[in-house]
Amino acid sequence: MKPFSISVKELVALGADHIPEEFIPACHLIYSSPATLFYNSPGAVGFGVKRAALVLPESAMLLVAPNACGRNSTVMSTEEGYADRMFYLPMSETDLVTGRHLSRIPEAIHEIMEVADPKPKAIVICITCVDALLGTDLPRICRKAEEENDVLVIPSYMYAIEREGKKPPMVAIRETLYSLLERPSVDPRAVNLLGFFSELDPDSDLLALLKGAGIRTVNQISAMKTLDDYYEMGKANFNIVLHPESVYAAGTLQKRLNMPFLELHRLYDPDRIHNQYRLFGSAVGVTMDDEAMYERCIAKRNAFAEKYKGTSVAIGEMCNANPYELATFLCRMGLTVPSVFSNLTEYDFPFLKQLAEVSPETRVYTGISPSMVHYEEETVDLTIGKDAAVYCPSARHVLWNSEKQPFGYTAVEGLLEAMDAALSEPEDKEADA
Amino acid sequence: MKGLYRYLSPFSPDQSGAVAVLYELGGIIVILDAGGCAGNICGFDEPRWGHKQSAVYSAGIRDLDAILGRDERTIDKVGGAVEAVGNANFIALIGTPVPAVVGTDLKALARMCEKKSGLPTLPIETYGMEYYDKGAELSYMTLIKALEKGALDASYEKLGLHLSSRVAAEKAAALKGAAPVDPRAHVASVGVLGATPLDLLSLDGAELIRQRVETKQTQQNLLHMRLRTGEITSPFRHVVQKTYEDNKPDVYVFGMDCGFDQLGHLFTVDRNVVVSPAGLKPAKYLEQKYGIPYEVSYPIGHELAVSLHRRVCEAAQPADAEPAARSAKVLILHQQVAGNSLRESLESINDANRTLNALDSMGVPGTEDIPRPEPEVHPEAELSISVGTFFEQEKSIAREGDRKFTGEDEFLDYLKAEQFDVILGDPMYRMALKWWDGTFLPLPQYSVSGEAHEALTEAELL
Repeated sequence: MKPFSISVKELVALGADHIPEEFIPACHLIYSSPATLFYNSPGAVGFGVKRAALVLPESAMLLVAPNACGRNSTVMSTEEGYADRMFYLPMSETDLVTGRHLSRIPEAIHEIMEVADPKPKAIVICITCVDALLGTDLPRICRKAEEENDVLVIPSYMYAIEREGKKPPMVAIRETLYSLLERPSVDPRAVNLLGFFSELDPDSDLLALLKGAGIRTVNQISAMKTLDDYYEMGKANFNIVLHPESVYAAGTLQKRLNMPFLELHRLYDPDRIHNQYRLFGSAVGVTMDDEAMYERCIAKRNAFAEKYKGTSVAIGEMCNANPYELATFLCRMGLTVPSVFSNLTEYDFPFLKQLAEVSPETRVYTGISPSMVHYEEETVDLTIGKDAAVYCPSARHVLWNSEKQPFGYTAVEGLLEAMDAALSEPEDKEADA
Repeated sequence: MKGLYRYLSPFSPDQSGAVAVLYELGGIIVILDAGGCAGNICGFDEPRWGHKQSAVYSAGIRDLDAILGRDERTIDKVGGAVEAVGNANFIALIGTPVPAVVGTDLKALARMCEKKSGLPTLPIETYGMEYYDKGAELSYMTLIKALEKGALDASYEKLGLHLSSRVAAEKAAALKGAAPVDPRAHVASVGVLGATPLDLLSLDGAELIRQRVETKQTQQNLLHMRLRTGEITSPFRHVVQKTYEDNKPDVYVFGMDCGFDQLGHLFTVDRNVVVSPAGLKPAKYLEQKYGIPYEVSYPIGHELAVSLHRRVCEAAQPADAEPAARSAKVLILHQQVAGNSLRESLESINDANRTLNALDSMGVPGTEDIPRPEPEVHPEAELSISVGTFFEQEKSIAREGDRKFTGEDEFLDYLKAEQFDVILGDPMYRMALKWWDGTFLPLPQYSVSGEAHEALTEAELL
């Protein structure tokens, strides 16, 4: 038996309104392969809800949930260093029936305030699917807990059960993170970057270009050390959204604080990056002087294309890129992309159409399809993305999933350097970039 | 506050234990969850996931499915997966908190899936609120009952095998009125119950257990053979080797490295070895119904036991006293059977060393004037060892002072009251022990800290 796959050409012909059921999680069981951890467990890889919430400076989290929901924190919190800020109030079967666990939250917070070192200034309460189904009124519980303890208590929701809903967990947590902001005044030369839970690569041209355009302060929540620093974000002139899951939070800030936003996409085609910066400049009324950066990037791209023309690459979705946009860029350089391992939504179709023009036969596999149990390795020279590395273990690998977020021309150059390193190293196959 | 975990984090839940037992049996394992539980089970509780493929799926339940009780969607999805997989031996439906809160009737759902797909379907009624060992126990019992009823016969026959229900029925009938099993009878096969990655001291543990059970049983078989027949071992090496090979039992580690085709041996083995509390209930059941005797023991490697014993003795107090005058109050934190067996190994080495040291110090009368090399001092101390666990504790194999902890607060109260000199346990426990200044020796358990502190091989623990 063969796993489900479909060519880019066929996908584009079907159109965004007729995405095959294999790509729609609600239509079938979701296969758990090592490559789909990213999909299957929102809290499992990198920044899930729990770790994301702890980006709020001087905060701690109390997870109120069945044991099963907190299990990944055992490993993640140890490896990623937030174990001292996580607290658990496990639910029993009795709690499920009586809701008793909720009445214990204020007492738990009192104890956290006694033992936590340093003492948190905010406690994020996180509840899960069970409470979604019980209809728990968490904001009310948080207000009560706040009254009884001298600390901010913030509700958050890890509702995997609403994953395909209007406000999936990773969208909801982004909204939660910015929910404490107020707007005492406006600093016209300050902006916020919304989207990532870790800092943008400090070498990214975006930061340099913003400075060059007269923006004095570029805020990122992950860089804030104190809650007071965080409150400064309320003064920003506008928000720049770098990840689509932050659009909802940006919309809420626009509505609540009259703080406008615009979106920038993480792209790998230098021509598109150049165009995006130009459009951004005209929208904001500033000059983004990126000519030198653009020329340097083009030169590097051309040199790479010359050296590696015809190299075959498989791309997954567990990387810091949109796999379809990245595939288009690589194909335009003369590389081949026989397969992409990624889920698909209507938002990917603009990129898919461009990919269909340069590589219509590229096959798209979706890791969540039940038939992926039959996937057999396809020979490629290189993989990009952690999941693609799992599917094609014999190739050389560039994981390209670091937490230091790449963006702009420096991202392109960094990726090409990582690919060059992986392709030049016969022994060490993995460039853990 | 009772129930609050301030330092530790949640251990492997029942649903992970349930999957661990079924993982290598070629079934379609459906986690009835929204996605997170399946991700946690595979990504954090199943070390085989990265290198041993298994058809594990999330049902992808969404809010309206749960609220409106749309079980037919799950049944359709399972049917689709059965087609996609093609050659599954069975379906297992694993319960999680979501079906628990909406009161899903897992047995009825299994019947409907079975009817629609034509594949035997096992409902595993876990809730995500107990620990892994309860789930593993549930999977063992569900498998045994399904085999007894012949529910898996069709899948067996597809493999060209004829076991399960008939063998079970025949054996049960033969047992009625039969004489008790002769403890000295030749043991041709041994089952190991309770061995999953979540129970082991190291991830190569299943193979080590198999080897050690095989060696021990071979030696017992040889001994019993000599007792029965009075036969003296031949001086010829090839005959000795053949005799040894003839007395080697087949060992089946149910839960790891054991496929669906070997499940029928659950009823045919001559004896069982229970290596964790998860295997106790099935072992008792198999003994009661089929007369298969069992022993409760986790085969500890001698090298590991010697190494840990040495380190325990080094930590004995007072440090400046003679070894024989030192003492150590020791706590082993693991699953109960592994903890008990390690305790017995440490005590046995300690007793042997004490005897050796005493003999060395006595010397041979009349040879006092003859110079001799300084005798080797074997590590020893007065040891008082307790076994503590957050998982199931069987009272009948617990000693006085052993403890099952129901929560972190109870755990900390116990440690503060008992003032142990040495603790052997998963390194994650240290997070709760910053105040304690004793000696901590790492003894990882995957169900506690997962890959964060995993020991791939027992050699890493030496």
